[in-house]
Order: sequence, then C-alpha cells, then structure tokens
Amino acid sequence: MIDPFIEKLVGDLKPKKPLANRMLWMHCTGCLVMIAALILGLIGLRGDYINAMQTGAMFWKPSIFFFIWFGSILMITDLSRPGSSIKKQHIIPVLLGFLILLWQITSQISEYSFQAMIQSLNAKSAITCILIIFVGGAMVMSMTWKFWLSKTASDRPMLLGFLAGLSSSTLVATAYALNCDKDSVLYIFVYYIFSILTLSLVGSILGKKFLRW
Amino acid sequence: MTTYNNSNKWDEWLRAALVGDENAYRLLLTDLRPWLMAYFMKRVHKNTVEDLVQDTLMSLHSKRQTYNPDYPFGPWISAVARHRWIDHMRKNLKYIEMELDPEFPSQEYERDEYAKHDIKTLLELIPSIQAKIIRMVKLQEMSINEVSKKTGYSPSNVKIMVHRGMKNMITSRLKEVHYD
Repeated sequence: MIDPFIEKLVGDLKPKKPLANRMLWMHCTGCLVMIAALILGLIGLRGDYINAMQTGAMFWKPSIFFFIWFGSILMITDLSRPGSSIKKQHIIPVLLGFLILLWQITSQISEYSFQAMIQSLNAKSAITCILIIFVGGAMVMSMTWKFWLSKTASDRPMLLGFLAGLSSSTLVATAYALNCDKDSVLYIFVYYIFSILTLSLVGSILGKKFLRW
Repeated sequence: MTTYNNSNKWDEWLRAALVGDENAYRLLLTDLRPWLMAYFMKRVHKNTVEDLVQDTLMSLHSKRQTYNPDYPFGPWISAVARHRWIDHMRKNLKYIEMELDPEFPSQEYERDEYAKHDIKTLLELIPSIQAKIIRMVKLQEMSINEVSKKTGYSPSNVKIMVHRGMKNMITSRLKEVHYD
C-alpha cells in the first residue's frame, strides 16, 4: 500500500553528508588561524612581548581563553545530535582555563595593590577589547551557525547556543590576548569576561529561538 | 513489525538513504511507521498518535545528517521520537484531560484506616504538590472543583496532577520493590 506522506518524503530525498566532528574542528581551527592572522597583521603583537614572554603573560593570558574555547567545541560536538549529552571529561579544558585565571588572581592579589588593579580599568584599549571580542566573536558565531549549528538537532538548543557564543568569543579573545598588554586579572574579568558572557547570552537567546527542531 | 532490538536493517537503509537511495529510504520509513505507532500509543492519546508519527518522520527527514553511521540507528530514532513526544507534551500539557483511575483503593475502602495509612506512606514518595492534591481528593474526599478553588489550579490540572501523582507513586513503589 502506498503511503502518500512517505512518498512525499521519499520524493524530497537528496544525498546528505552526515555531520562529522572533524569538520567542525577544521572550521574552528581555520577561524582561529584567520582571526589571529588578522589581529597580528593589522595591530601586531603586544609592544612588550619580550618582557611578557619572560613574565609568562604572553602564555597564560591566551591559554585561559584557548582552553575554554577548546572545551566549548568539545561540548558543542557532544550536544549536536539527538539524545546526546555533555561528556564529563569535556568540561576539563574549561575548568583548566578557569584554574589558570584563579592562579593569576591569587598571585596578582599578593603582588599588586587593589588601587593599581582599579587603575588598570581606565585603559583606553578597553573599548577596543570589548568591540573586537564581541564583533569578531559575532562574525565567527554567524559562520559557525551557518556551517554547523543550523544542521544540528540538539535536545538542549539554548545550551548549544550559549556554547556557540562562548566558543566564538573565546576564539577571538585568544587571538586578541596576543596583542593586549593589560595583564591585570580585574581588567580581564571586567572587559574580556563581560564581552564573552554577553555574546554567550546572545547565543543562548538565538539558540532557544532558532535551534529548536 | 520490526522491533527496536532487530534494527540492523534500519542502519543499512538509512546509510543508503544518506547517499540518495530512494528505495532504501522508502523501506526504512515504511518499516519505522508501525514501530513509531506502537511507541506513541503507549505514551499519548490515540488521537494524536498519527500526528506524532508524522512529526517524527519529518524530523528524521530534516535532521538525518545528525545520524552517525558508526552507531546503531535504534537509539538515534528513539531520541528523535522522545524529543517529539516531549515537545508535544510541552505544547499541549494544559489541554490534556485524564480520567481518574476507578480502581483507586479509596473508592473501595474509603473508610479503611489501614488503606489511608498505606496511601500516606506512598504519598511521601512523590512531589509535595501532587501529594497535597491527592490527599485532598482521595483522603479528604473533596470534589475536583473544591480542590481547584482551594489551590487555584484549573479542574483539568487537578485531574492531571492526581493522575500523575498516582503514576509516580506506582513507579516509585516498583523501584523500591525492585531495589529491595
């Protein structure tokens, strides 16, 4: 017996490539390289990079965002299919990022006065920092949305949207941290984390609306 | 009817459909239909079963790229069906009306203190709001409308909560028996 509904679906059948996690990794790594090349090409490495290498700031600051970015991509691949959930071990890179931040908080509190940290917030580069992370992150998120997220079928679209915002903004933050010479944790908390959380929030709102299926 | 445990051919058919094999796709959808009917028959009112089956087949069609060919198809289609079911429940929960179970002990043994004691024990196994409503309806013998006025919930919601609470009690009790 011919079922018209099934026949309609069969008539609409086109070959489709199954989602492969490696494609998302390639896309995101490509975006990271492109954004890093853009930032380094247009505004360059931080002026005090030799000193920053000696103090370690050249490494720990981008590492915070790099680990969070890495973990959030792992979690996106976890959540992209029906019935799947986040694997516990995939949270580890994100925790590692926060651990580096915590380590810097404890070491800077003993090293610098609170006054000096507050002063670091007056830096003129703050607006640039917010704009680059937010706008750059939004561009990366829109590319990732088209390339990957629109094809997913997650049971938790809002969380997936949040992770998309988080991964895109931390990707840009990783690259931008190579240029930024403000190493105060208060500065990082206020400007970096603010931009990252704002884009993540935008991502979760968009996810709730557009990633439902 | 194909069972979930015997779904190897579903895997093959969907793999073939992903590269555009119409016959395999037709076989898959046709074979899935009765399985989905049975799946939803157990969960929703019979009037909505067909809608949910079609919704699930549509979801399969539009999201088939999320199937990982390295894994079995059974868990994937169950997750899709479950998602459609939860989505349906979320949208229509306020319109569902359920009849109370006529076999509930309070009708038969309404003055039996032992039965009331047993029910009180069971009520501790479920969420407090469901317990409160069941207590009013079944132990204090208040009408649905009286409970509705007292709690602020609509009569349909009261009925649903009674039904769910009773279901939860049974499930919790079965779990306890199982673990014992």
